[in-house]
Amino acid sequence: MAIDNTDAIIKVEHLTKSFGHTEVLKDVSLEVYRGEVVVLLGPSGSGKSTLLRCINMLEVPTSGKILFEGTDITKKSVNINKIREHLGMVFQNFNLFPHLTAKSNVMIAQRKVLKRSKEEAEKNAVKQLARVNLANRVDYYPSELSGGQQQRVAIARALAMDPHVMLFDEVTSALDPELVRGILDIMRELASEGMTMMIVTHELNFARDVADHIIFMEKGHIVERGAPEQIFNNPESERTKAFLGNIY
Amino acid sequence: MNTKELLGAMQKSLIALLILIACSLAISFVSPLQSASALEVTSITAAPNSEDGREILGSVPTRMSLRASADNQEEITSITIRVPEVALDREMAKTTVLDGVKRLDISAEVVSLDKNTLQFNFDTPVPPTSDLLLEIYEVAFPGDGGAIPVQFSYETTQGSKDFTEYEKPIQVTPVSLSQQIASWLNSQGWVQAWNSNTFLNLFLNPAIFVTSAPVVFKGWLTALAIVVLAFPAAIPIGFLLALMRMSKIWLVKVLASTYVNIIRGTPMFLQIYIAFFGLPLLGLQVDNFVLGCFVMAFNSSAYLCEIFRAGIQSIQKGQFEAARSLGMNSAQTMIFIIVPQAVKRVIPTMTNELILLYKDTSLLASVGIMESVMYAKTITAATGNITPYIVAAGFYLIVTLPMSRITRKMEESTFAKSAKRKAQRKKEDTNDDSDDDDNTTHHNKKGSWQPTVDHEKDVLAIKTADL
Repeated sequence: MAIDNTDAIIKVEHLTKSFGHTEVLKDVSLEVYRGEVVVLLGPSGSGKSTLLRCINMLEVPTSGKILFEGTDITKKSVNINKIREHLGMVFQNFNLFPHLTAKSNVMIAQRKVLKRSKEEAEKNAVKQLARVNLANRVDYYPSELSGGQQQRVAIARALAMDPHVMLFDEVTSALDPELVRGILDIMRELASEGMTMMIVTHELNFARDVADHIIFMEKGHIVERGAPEQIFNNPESERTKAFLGNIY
Repeated sequence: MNTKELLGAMQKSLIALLILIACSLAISFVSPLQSASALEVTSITAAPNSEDGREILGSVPTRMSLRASADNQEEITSITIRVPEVALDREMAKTTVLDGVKRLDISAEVVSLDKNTLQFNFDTPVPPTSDLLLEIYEVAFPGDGGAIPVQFSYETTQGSKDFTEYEKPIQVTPVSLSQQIASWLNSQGWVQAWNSNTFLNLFLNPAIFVTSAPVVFKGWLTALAIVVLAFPAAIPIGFLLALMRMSKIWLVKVLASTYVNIIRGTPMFLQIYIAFFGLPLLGLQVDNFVLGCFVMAFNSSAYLCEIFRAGIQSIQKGQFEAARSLGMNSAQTMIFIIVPQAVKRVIPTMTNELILLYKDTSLLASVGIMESVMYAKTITAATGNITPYIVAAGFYLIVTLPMSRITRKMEESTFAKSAKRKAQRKKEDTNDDSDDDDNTTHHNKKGSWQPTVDHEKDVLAIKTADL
């Protein structure tokens, strides 16, 4: 799938984020191009998730700029809800709405945010659930679904908004190992369809397979970045080497 | 005209005059009973037995008295009193004969001619010019009241007189069914036995129980009306306060917190006093009932605020994030995602608050709102019996017992329902041959898995929130 290197859909410039006195992100800059799959790697507490959450403003950056399709979304004048329509996010803990069925989970934002008609939203919800192999679970409540199924509903819910970028925040970390594959397969499929994605994960093999670009972070800094072959085969930094070595 | 002629005319007229006198005398001697009564009945009355002492109530036993004077030359030997449809008990009759202020030693043997008729037979004929007082105690007039006619007759040494109806019937005020039942109860042997026990009499007097129930019931309706108006009004105020307390704007937050802390930190009794005595002094005349509703609503809203706040805060942060990440604004997130989940969690606690509010309406008795306790207090003050308070307690329990039961059921069903559904789904899954990576082997184990929703912790958070 072609990546347009002239069209940075997300551009992060000198981003810092502090929680109280703890600086979690220190002067982070990066670009994500349309159609690109960017995987963020790094040890726990390196700031990967915070970075991802800053990109849809779930965390408000302390300083720096985040440009989404050319708009600086850190500005107060920007209607962040409009921006978020185009930024699908999937969480580690699924965060499905427990009072709604799978179908309604996928429908609600289409109805309330995109103001789609009930029929249209329902048709799309069924389509998206079928896409994540849950056609036979549309009327189930989240509590009646397994973790893997819940996460797939969450993905369907994000996809139903027709996002320009999908953000995946450790989406397989809360799952048993044998349930992980199904989720990764769906993400691979999305990547092959040309979806722009930012993925925080600990699945290194998956990262290697699916990533166009890998960013390795530690202690709030970007330590190393590059194509997967380069990061995995010839890591420049000792820290990256150690991290990959430990895991392999 | 000569003198002889004049004398003759005078003689004639004198004879005529004499004949006239003789005639009139003869008439008066021939029919002595028709010209004047031997017995002059001056009054037939019953003693008032209502609380204000002005009315004669039906059903409630009272004393009936007949006053008369023996006017003529004749001596009275017996008097008969008949009151249609009213039972007269010969045991309860009393006779008094007075000569001026001196009491004569005359008694009467009282005979029951039938249920409604008593005959007083004097042992010594009652001499003329003496006064008679015949009393019959424990006379219960019909409960539906009306003008009750009384008939009497008497016998003298020279003859008897037939029944005549006394010109003024006794005016009896109708009484309620409960009072009729109460009178009936009081005449029952087992009730009298029951009442002979001081404790039972004081706390559970059957007759007072029956008479106070409809009165306290009126107060109970008032209390219910206050709750029915105040609680629904308190819900939106409480919700607004909860949102204000969670606001990011400092001033809004402080305003709501101050209000909630003051209301929760002071006794409701005091709040009622301040509202009821303060507003009139400000020149604001508000109807007591309306003001009562307002005070209850504002008081309850502070408690509901904390319940809602705890309910909303017990929803995981992830729910807010998921909703916001889908582009929902904060109002949409609240309305479609958070509130539906929070409502489920706060309903049991809200019901508790409803019970508290309902019980607290009794405090309004202190400012004269006629609710259950106030009515009970009135009756207790009049009877010196505690039973009306017990009746009031019963009325409170009619509402509170089922409500706390419902609350418990709701708490249980929150878990039971999802478990039932889950079991049903499991069954469906076994018949499901669809290709599903994590379906068969791990579903059972993972099906009940909830990421970070710690239900027990949430419930605890709600329960402790309003302490």
